[in-house]
Amino acid sequence: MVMTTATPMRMTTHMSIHTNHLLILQQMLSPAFPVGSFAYSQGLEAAVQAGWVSDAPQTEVWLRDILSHGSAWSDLMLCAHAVHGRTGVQRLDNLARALCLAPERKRETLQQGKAFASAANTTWGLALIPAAYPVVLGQAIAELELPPAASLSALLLAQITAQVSAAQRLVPLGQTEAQSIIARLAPLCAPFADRALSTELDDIGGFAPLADVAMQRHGGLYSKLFQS
Amino acid sequence: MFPKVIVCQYNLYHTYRAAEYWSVQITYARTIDLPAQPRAKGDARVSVRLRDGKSVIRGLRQSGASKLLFPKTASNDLTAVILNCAGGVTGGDQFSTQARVGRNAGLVMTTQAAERAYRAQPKEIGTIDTRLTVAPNARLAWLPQETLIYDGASIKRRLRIRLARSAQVLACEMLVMGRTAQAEHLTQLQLADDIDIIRDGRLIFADRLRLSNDAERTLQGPAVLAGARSLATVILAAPGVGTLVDALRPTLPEKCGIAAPDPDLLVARLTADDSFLLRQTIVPLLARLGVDPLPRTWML
Repeated sequence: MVMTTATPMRMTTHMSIHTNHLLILQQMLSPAFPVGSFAYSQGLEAAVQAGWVSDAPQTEVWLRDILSHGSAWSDLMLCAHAVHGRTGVQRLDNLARALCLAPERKRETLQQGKAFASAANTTWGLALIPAAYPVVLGQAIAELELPPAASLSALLLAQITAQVSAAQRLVPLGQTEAQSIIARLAPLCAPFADRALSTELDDIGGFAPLADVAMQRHGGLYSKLFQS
Repeated sequence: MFPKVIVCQYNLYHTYRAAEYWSVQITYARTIDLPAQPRAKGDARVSVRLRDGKSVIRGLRQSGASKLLFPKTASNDLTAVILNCAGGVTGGDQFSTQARVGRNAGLVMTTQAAERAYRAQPKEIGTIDTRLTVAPNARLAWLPQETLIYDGASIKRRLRIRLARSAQVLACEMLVMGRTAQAEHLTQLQLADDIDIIRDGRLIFADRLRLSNDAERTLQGPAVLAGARSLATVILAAPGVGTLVDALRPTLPEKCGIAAPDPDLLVARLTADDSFLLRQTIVPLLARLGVDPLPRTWML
């Protein structure tokens, strides 16, 4: 059980960021940006209904697995590769779709990607090609010339926040407790972002079979709050 | 469950491999300066065509430690059994298998025994590369037995299946993490296990399992295996199979999932405490997906 107290993130030089960039990142990754991130639980709802996750500490451990070995890590890798552009958008999008083990997960990433491209193209005058969400985000980071490591860290924090917020609707998890979980997971963001940027696409992947099972079982739930 | 014959074979011929098997000797073997580990290489290639309503061998090439056996069966589809004469895979080994299933033909591929990924020496990686091609209206069942991952294993496995639009494939891969009977802990591991399914030139399914370093701690994770030791991935790619999900879902135990990411693709991720329990789930699932009977080697 990992329950260390939150330590504030140490600002290293590569994390320093121009204020304009910071503001754009905050806007595009905010829950208010119209991609509907509140509608998806990425398997957490099925995990809760199965009794695998039922309180705050279990939520934290589950999320740590998703970040380290599951879909959040794969998404971060896809985003990183869309940022540095060594692999074409089409190929990354194909890989992102092929990695989805359930239709709900595929719909989630494609709908969010489409919604993000449409909103960002209008807001900032970009020419993003609709694709899986992390692939579209990567294109946006590149087109707006946002600093890659800071952007990916912010993306990961946004994903953690979205998942914790989903957990608040599924398990007994108070507002303050939720923020403590986010604060404890936040220090993972910068090292994971660096690792995603320096990992070859061939090494994408993880090991979260029960998270995959949860995503697949979502479609069979009798009643559900979330679309994935 | 353990095929003793294979163990005896490599006891005689591969001293260092044997040392890896008997954990007492591992300690001894590691205290002396080990010479380079013997390498095993194996390559097997087969192509299959339809002749007078039966699927028959069109071409066959095998070299090194890989052999293919073709047992007689009652079916019109050809059965090919892959035999790894080296008794397992360790660092630096290279195994490759290729099969081409011609128009309207059917092929069932399996393995003679469970594959073993043994402890590898530092920086040595064993590779298993399988490429299968299925022509229009042809069928392939890829049904190897379990792969057992030993502590210290370092393995990179890649399965790539290319399908014509009207072809169909059923593929099943089972992984067992550590020798469960000995409660083996996986403290050191490098596992990369890829599956690509390409239909009509487009990637329709990609699985990328990556597990490294202190796997034991990772395996305990609630989203990983929650302490269970085995998992399987079953994929059925054929026109319209997505509609089977609703009927199959209630037949699976709790820690198993099945879904249709697209209408022509069915994917099941199954987990179980050990390989015995995994088979209890997988055998009826394969039967429901049309594998009847199972390859004979599965029952030995």
